[in-house]
Amino acid sequence: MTAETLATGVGQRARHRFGSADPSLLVLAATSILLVLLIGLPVGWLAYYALTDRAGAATFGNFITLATDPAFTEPLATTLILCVSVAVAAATVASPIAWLIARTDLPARRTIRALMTASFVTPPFLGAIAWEILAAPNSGILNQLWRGLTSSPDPLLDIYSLPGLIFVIACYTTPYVFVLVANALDRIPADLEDAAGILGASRWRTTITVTIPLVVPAILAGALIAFLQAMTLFGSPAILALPAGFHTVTTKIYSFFHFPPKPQLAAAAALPLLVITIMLLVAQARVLGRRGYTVIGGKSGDPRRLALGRFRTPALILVLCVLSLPLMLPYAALLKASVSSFPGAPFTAEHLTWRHINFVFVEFSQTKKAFWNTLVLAVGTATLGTMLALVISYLTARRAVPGSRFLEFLATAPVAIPGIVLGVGLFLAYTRPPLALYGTLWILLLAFLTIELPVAFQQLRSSFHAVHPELEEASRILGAGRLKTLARITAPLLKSGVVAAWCFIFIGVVRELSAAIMLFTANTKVLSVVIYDLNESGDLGAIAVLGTVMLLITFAVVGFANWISGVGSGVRLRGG
Amino acid sequence: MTHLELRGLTKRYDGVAVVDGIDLSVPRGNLVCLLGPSGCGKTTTLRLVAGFVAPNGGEVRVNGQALSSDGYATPPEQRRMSMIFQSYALWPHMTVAANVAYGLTLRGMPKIEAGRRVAEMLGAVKLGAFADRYPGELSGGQQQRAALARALIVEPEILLLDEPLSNLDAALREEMRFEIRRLHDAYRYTTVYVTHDQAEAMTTADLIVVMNQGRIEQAGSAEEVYNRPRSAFVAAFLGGANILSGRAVDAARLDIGPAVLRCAEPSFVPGGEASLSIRYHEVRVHAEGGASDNRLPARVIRQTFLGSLRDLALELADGTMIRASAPPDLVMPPDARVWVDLPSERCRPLPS
Amino acid sequence: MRMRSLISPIVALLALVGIAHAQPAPISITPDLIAAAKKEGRVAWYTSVDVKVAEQLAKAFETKYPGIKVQVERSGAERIFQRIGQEYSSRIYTVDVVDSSDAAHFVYYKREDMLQPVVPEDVAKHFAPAYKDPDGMHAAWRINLSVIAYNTQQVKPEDAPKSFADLLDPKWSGKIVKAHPSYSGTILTSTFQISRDLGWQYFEKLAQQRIMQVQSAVDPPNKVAAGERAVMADGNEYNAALLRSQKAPIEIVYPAEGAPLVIGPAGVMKRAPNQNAAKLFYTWLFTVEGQQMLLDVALLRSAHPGVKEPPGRKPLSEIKVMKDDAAEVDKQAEEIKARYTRLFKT
Repeated sequence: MTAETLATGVGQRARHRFGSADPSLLVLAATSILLVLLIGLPVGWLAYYALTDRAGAATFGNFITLATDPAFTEPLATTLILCVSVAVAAATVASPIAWLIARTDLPARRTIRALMTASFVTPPFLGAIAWEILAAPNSGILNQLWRGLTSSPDPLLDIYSLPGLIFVIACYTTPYVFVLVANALDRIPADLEDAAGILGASRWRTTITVTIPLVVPAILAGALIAFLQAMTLFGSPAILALPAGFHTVTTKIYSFFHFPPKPQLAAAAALPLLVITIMLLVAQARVLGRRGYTVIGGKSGDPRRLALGRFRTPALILVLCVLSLPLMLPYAALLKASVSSFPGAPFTAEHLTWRHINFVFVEFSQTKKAFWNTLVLAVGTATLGTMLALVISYLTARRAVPGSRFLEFLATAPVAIPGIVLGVGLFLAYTRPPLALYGTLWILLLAFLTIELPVAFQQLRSSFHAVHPELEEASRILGAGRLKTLARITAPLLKSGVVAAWCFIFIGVVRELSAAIMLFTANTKVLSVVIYDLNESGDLGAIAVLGTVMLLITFAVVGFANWISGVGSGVRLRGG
Repeated sequence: MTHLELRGLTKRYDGVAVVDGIDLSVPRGNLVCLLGPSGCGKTTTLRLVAGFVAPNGGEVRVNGQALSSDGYATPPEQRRMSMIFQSYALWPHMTVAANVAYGLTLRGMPKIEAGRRVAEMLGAVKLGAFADRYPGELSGGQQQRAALARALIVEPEILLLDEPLSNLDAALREEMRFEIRRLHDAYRYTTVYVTHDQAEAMTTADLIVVMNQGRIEQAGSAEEVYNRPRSAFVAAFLGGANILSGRAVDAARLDIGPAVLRCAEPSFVPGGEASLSIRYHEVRVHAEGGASDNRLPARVIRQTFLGSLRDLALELADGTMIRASAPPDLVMPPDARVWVDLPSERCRPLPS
Repeated sequence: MRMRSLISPIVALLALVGIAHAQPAPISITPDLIAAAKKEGRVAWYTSVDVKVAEQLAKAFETKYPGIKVQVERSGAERIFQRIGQEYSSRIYTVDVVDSSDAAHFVYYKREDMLQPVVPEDVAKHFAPAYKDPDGMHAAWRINLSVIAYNTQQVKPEDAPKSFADLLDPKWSGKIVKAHPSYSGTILTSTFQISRDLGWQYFEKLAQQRIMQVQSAVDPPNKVAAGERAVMADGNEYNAALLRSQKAPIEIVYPAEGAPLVIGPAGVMKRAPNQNAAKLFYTWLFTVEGQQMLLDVALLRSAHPGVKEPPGRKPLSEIKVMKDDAAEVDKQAEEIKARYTRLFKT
């Protein structure tokens, strides 16, 4: 059957002439063009600025200026150290936990999975602020406790340092690796392990020789995402690196916008990041492409769970300790800060105060507007973005239009562009006619759409592989066009993927700071920017209140989305 | 009256022709079976007819109107066809009734009318009691019936079936063969049926089209293709046959090396290279010999008891292998010396 | 003679016109202005004053003139400046009234013709010439000092630094927090004044002290009060004073070399979308009521002679201050930021 399946597979690549009687194709073509514009416009403007001087003449001078200025090359080196450390740390911590959750009889597995997701929802900049409260060398709560216990004059932890920054970023990139590895472990069919077992391998040996190697691609993919996250984050370094006295590339790029702004240098500074990303993606494709084990699939059956025996409790304690770093400790710190007169104040009645809560909800005039803007943008971007990602992943998964590989590249490309740089590109692209969008929520919507597209696209594209093309063909031969089929058959079948993509975008938008900080205006402020502004002047109490509410809302919306999608689906999906 | 017509239909992938100039006319109401091994191009041909794939050359015509031509294909949703897929492709998020009703809803049929028709159709495929089940809750055979109902209810111009029975177990497959033929006799839609199973083809088809390497080897009724295979491939693929090659002594005799075989039907070109076919069950095996026409000595290499018959692998003097289906009670130990009879009226010359 | 007698009235007239142009008629809060402002219903105020202070001022104004909503946009002065530039270059005109802790911004705004002349009655009558623009484009809305402060739990008063020079003592290494001239107008101004009076060598040495770098001039007092660092090398006097009044362990030191004087002007944008509300709010900011609030609520200082000093505070006249020179800050801003960034690597 191989040759024929191959032939039919290739058959989907068939080219259709435009102008044929298929109206869906027009919509699909329009989507493709929209995508090209969405990515192409800001990136094009960035490229233009990177290659011109202030007068608009073509030059490589911007790159030369950067390459010869230690004020840029040092942050670049720092950023590389940061990214590698974060990737290694996240992979090292997340992989064993994922294995414990997916493959052993660890207690409270479901809860731990949910908590991991919760740490994904936490905006990294909020985490950074919470860790300031916890581990600022002198006023940090943990350091005060440490001093109280040991009467040592030196702090236990210094969050204002490169290791501190690595730690905080790793805290909030670990969930990415965890989710990928845990899902891969879930999907390893039991028979692959049985095959090793039947040959006489012990459970542990099977785990080491079969299970772990099978998830290496997932670990690598996770580490790559952690690397890219660390490279493109703006908030955490802005909050922690500046007090420590160093820059990363993103904070450096932001500083290029201090008056007088130097967009040419900012655009040029993005280039090394792009080059690194592309090299990494190519390397990943090489490593994974050589071994054909993307096809973890086949008959699944219940995964074999290894009995931990007497290690069960210690393992659980270890996992909970790890989870306390991105979750329990920071949230406790935020909650405390929101009712304490100042963050490091002892937890006594005289220091309890309603001041911050009152300020945020009564005095602070931006609270309402920021919440509203954030919600509108998050819901709008999530909805539009999911639709866009659905169509694009359909186009690429089913090769419905010529050049679908290019679309795939475009939809993935924003991963490589730090939000702050993309913000610059969008600002350059949408401040002139005919698309003078700056000052409206639309430009933020476009920015978030572009930034969040890759995640949604990847999510949906992998879901597409689970939907047999014949399910769509069955609909088309009965008379439904491509779009109707997408809406009535594919989307419902992808429901969990669609809801996941929607939630990913929603969370991503709420967390987004780096592009927003370039693009907001007085009337289009979002929560992340408000929190960043408050942090600038050290109003930790107000931040704690806003951050806590923001998280509650995020959880509520994500929970609601999952509930909605679960309602009325008595469907038992067993596959045709 | 020709309903569906393929003219020089060609599909190439990366320069390799998967479907290579197919010409075929299907009269209205006929069930034509595309039969061939994996990779012979039968499924691609079906997808060309459905419009999922656009040809590189040739045409697909329905009622004389070209739906596909070089580089162009009217999209499948505008062809008024329906199709049954190898995987059944029942939508797991819809009940059986909703699956079956889908095509009717698309055609804008009022709910009540559609409901009545769905109930009727489910009755016809004996699924009346399962209307509210989800596909995941049905057995393989029931899923197959649901897929049939979904395809038939829209009264398609042309019905396409892509290896519809390959996922069923043997007993069910046999039952469903007759079921498909029964439904075809009831509805008489022009049907193209793709399979690699000759029994399926013979049970269901009005016209069997044997395909190999993207081309049609032979088209005809079941009797025609079975009894008068026009190529070694057809002979071997349908029912299994020994192909013996050699040099024609005269119009009726073929020198295959260890013996000269006589054919009842003289059609060889004297002196030329030629071959003939004889089916396994037409070869007679005897314990003792006797000089007669087309009787030659052989040695038993392997014998397998298959219940209703005994499958023998035999070696002729020059090493040529012959397979024979002997009566089950004929016990031949390996290495036994035997005689094989190749009756001249069963030796069919193959066109060169 | 005849010629002269002819010319002099013309000169006098020209001079009069010139004065009239330079000093537009002062405006006061009239019922007409209030009515017109209420019709607009809102005023957008871009400010770099502490957000809580800004919100309280806005509340007070909204209470006094119900129906006019004050939209407070608070950020660091340099970021506000950057934002307005960004918005104006895209023809987005949302800002009505702006103030800055960096007086140089008003040199720029005025040069770029972004302001309109509005002279509140109080400014015309009571403000010394040093505290108002001769063309009426802006006036000193608030006066602030950048000061040294220390945490009273970590440092004994006798050990506390008395001058900028004291901060260079190795004992303060790793214990100093300071704000950044790229983010804070106050700090840009103070960096200029210190570098002018003490030379860049001071900053070169200070950069060796492993300082903790924060952005806004609001933040160092917070960090000192929280005990995160023992001493601040610069930062807002008023935030430190506010924290002290809330019983936080912080004490202010006016440096012996003189405290950098930071005049925070305010002005009305020429393209303000709410022209009347802008004028009303702006005029109100300079009334005794508005100015007194700066002192009472924010512990800032005022150029209005009619305000009452909070009890127990050292009046401005008794503090040695450095000399303000907005025009020079405007000229050197880029150079100062670049040089600072090189020294402090942030």
